[in-house]
Amino acid sequence: MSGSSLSDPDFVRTDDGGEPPWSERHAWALARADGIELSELHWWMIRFVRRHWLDYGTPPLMRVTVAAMRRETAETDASSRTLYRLFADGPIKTACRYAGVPPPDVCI
Amino acid sequence: MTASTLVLLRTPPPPAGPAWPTLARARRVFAHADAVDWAVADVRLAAELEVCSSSWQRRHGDSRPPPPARLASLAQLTEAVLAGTSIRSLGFGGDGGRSGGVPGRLLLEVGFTPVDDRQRRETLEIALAAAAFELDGDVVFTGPGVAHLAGDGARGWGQLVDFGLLGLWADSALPDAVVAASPLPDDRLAALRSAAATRLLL
Repeated sequence: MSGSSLSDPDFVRTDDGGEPPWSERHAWALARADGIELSELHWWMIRFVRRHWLDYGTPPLMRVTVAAMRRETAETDASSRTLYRLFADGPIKTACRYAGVPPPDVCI
Repeated sequence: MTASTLVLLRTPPPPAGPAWPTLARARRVFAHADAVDWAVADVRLAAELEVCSSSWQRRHGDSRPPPPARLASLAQLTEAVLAGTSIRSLGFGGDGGRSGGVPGRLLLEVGFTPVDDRQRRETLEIALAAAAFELDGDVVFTGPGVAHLAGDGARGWGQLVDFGLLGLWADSALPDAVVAASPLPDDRLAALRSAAATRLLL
C-alpha cells in the first residue's frame, strides 16, 4: 500500500475520485505566501504526506516520514532535523496544509 | 494497584460496577475518548484528572475543561508507559489491562466493536502514539474487536503493518477486512500477554 503510488507521475493532478481537491498551483501559492521556495525535497514530502493521508486517512508519523525519505530520496541526512529545515513551523502540519489534506489532530 | 498507579479511562464506567474501587483508589486518571465528558463532570472522581487534549477538542473545540481537570497529551500517556509507570486500564472492552510497573513491551488489546468512526479513530490513536515513540509492541483484536479492521475507517491500521510500526494480530478474519492482521491462535495470545510489560485493554 505504501511507496509505489508516490512515484505516480499523474498523482499531483488527481483531483477526482473523492480525493480532497488539490493542485501543484495550490501548494506553490501557499508556499510563496509563506516565503518558502519549494525544492525537490519539499515536493517529495508534500506528495508523501498527501499519499499517506489518502492511503490511511491520517498524516504520517514523523518517524515514518524520515524512514521513507531515507528509502525514497537521495537526501544524505534523512532525519527529523531535515524535516524541520524544510518546514520550520512543524513539518507534518505544514506539509499537510500544502498537500491539501487535514493536519494532524492527535496530541502526540 | 499502588498509590502511584495511573488509570487510563476510555469510557464511563457502569454505575456501581467493578471499576469503581479502582477509580476510588486512583491518584491519577487519564481520561481519553468517550470518558472525557464523564470524568470532568463526575464529582466523585477525586483523583488528579488529566484529559486527553485531542479527545477534548474533538468534542468541545478550543475550550478548556473546568479545573481541577487539565489537558494532557497522548505523548504524556506514552511517556508513562515508557517510564514503566504502573497503569490500570478501564477500556471499552472492560477492566483488564495492567502494567507490572516496569518498562518494556506494550500490548494493546481491542475486544469491542466501535460504534462510530470517532471511537475507531480514538482507538487507533493510542497505537499511533506508541508507534510515534518507537515503543516495541503489538495490537491484538479479539472477538468483536476484529470489526476495527473492516470498513473504510479501518485503513488507518494498515500503516502499522506497512511501515513495521507495531505487530497486528486478530483471532479471526472478517470477509470485508481491509487490513491484514496476523492470525492469533490462543497460544500466541498467551505468549504476547506473557511478554508484555504493559498490557492495556482499550
